[in-house]
Amino acid sequence: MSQAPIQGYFLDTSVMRSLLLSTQVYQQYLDIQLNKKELYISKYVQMEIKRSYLVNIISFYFVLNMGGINTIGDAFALWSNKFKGSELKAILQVIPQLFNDRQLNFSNPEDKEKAISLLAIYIKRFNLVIKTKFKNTNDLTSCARALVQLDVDYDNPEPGFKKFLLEFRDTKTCRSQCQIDQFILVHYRDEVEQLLNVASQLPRNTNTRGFLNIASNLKEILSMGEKACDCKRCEKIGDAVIALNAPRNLRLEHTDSSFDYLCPSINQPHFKHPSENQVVMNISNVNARK
Amino acid sequence: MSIEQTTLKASAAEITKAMLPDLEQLSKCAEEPVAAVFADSLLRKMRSLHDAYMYNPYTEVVMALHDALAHQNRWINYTSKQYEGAYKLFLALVNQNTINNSDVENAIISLEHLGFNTLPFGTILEDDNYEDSEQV
Repeated sequence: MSQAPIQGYFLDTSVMRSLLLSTQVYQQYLDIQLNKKELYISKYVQMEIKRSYLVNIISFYFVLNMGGINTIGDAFALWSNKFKGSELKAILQVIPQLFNDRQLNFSNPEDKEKAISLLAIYIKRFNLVIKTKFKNTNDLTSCARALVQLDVDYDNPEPGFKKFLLEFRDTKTCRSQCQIDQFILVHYRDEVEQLLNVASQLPRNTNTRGFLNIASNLKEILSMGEKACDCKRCEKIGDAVIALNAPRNLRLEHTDSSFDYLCPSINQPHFKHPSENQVVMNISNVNARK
Repeated sequence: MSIEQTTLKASAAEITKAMLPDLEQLSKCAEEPVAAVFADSLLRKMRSLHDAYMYNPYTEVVMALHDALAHQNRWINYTSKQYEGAYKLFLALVNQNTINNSDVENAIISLEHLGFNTLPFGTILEDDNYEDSEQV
């Protein structure tokens, strides 16, 4: 039986993040691959971008704004010494570019105020672009964290940033307002059981490990019910939520191996892109052969 | 008798207005070597606006274009048509004299639609391997 034609591209979080934050080389690769049809995301994918990047740059804003931090360099030094995760390291690679282009001096205390203002402007712009750059599909999880608004005053950004962080981190309230339990336990229960069946037949190796971890968490939700659903576990099953939530007439664009196991059994068209490192390496190899 | 010297500070809208001739020139000579003259002048005015008005709606729109142009010297890649679009956009904004948050957002979205990448900063992101870790 032939499948219905693809109406557009539905972006996984890794591809959306790459379109916003990767190198020019990888962005050009993705632009070429994804220029034939409309790009879509869900509110849930937006939430994952906010959780993995926006929250961190707002946190960095408050580090830079601290009284004991005299210069831009002090803020980066503190951040790099204390925070080690890959998502946290991205701050150290992206934000200096913003300040360099504005020709700020990282050692001059007089430039700290300019950097704070520049960062506030960048955060507002980033939030605007993730809301408006791509078309939105229906989010059946009704993720409440995705709906937390970032409203910032020009003259006084801190209260708006703080309010956003407090509401976004209030996972108890957010969870009380979302439908993730209904999404897994009712709406997509049959599909989730199919995924568990697929998982039960797979060996554990580098390729399958991510999918098997997701399946393990899904299994726990099926056995424990609603009480097993919280934002932390939702983070662990994020790829499954994205795959189940994706419209079947859109092709899911991803880089993660887990989708290779998630998509076929639920009849979700999908395409796995090479990682940024692979694309950069390929170009380097081609150039070396010239 | 003391002589008081009064300095009138240009408004954010006025500084933004001063950028229009550069944008107009760029719309005529984009991608040519001489475009550097007007790109340099434009970027300097943009930075002076940020120096003078760090928290202002005009600054927010101007810095969106600044970042798109300044990063990796991308001003050299944008076309006459794109600069013309930016000129018309900023002309409309300065004619308003005051702009609100909604105007700022619409202007940034318009810049994006014109093809200006207002979020040009990037890095090699580490592979998203949280799924591959041994978390259950």
